[in-house]
Amino acid sequence: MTQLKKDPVLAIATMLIRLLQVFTIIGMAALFVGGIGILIWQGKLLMELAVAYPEISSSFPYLLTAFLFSMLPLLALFWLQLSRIRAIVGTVEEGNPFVRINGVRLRFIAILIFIQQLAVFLIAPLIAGMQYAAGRYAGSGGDEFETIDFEISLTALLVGLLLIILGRVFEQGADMQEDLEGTV
Amino acid sequence: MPVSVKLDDMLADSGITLTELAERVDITIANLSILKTGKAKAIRFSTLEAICRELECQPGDLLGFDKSEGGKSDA
Repeated sequence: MTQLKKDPVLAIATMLIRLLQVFTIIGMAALFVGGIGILIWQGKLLMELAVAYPEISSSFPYLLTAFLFSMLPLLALFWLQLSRIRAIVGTVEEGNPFVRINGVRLRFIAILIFIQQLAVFLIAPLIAGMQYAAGRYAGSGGDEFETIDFEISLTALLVGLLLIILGRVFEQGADMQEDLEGTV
Repeated sequence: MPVSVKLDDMLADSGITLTELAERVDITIANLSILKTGKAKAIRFSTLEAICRELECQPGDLLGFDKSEGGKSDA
């Protein structure tokens, strides 16, 4: 299977996944340090933000820290997803992707996608709280403070379902591989 | 599995060794051992044909079926 090992697509995929894993870890560290830093220097942060939002609530730094910390488990889940994808790519590189464990890996990735989508219900109130704390006191209706969009993605849910089905396909493939190996 | 392979008996009857048969039918000894020990899940017609040709037997001589080992009934 040397031909597969030299496949540039697999090489690029492996490199990209590793890079994303490193960025994810850096991101997690940054969120953690940022969260702690906000708590330590909340007075200074409030003073800086007060320029744009003169009547910003003192609860804002706590909400921002809670938001940053709530992103930590999501990034951890993303890292886990990447590790499973890397393992699948590894089996493709070895020329033996139809193994039962890949079915389990795909299902695991799908479950993590669903968990990430459910996390929206926990994080959305925090974002709303941040908007309220910053925007309400901005003096012009509370719509000025911009945050990232955080909503359930239909595409992600469909990808999750697709992965579950693909997991079953891989399990059937593993069965067929076993049959093939037992054929004389 | 209720289907058994009687390759051992057939080899003893014909006086051919497993290595010799492997060379004649162009199958690895490892694969032939899998067949001999009953660990094979399936057998190709081409393999069956080659073994029958070399051992001068019928496929039925090579395979046996034991209903008591979990074979499904016709009903």
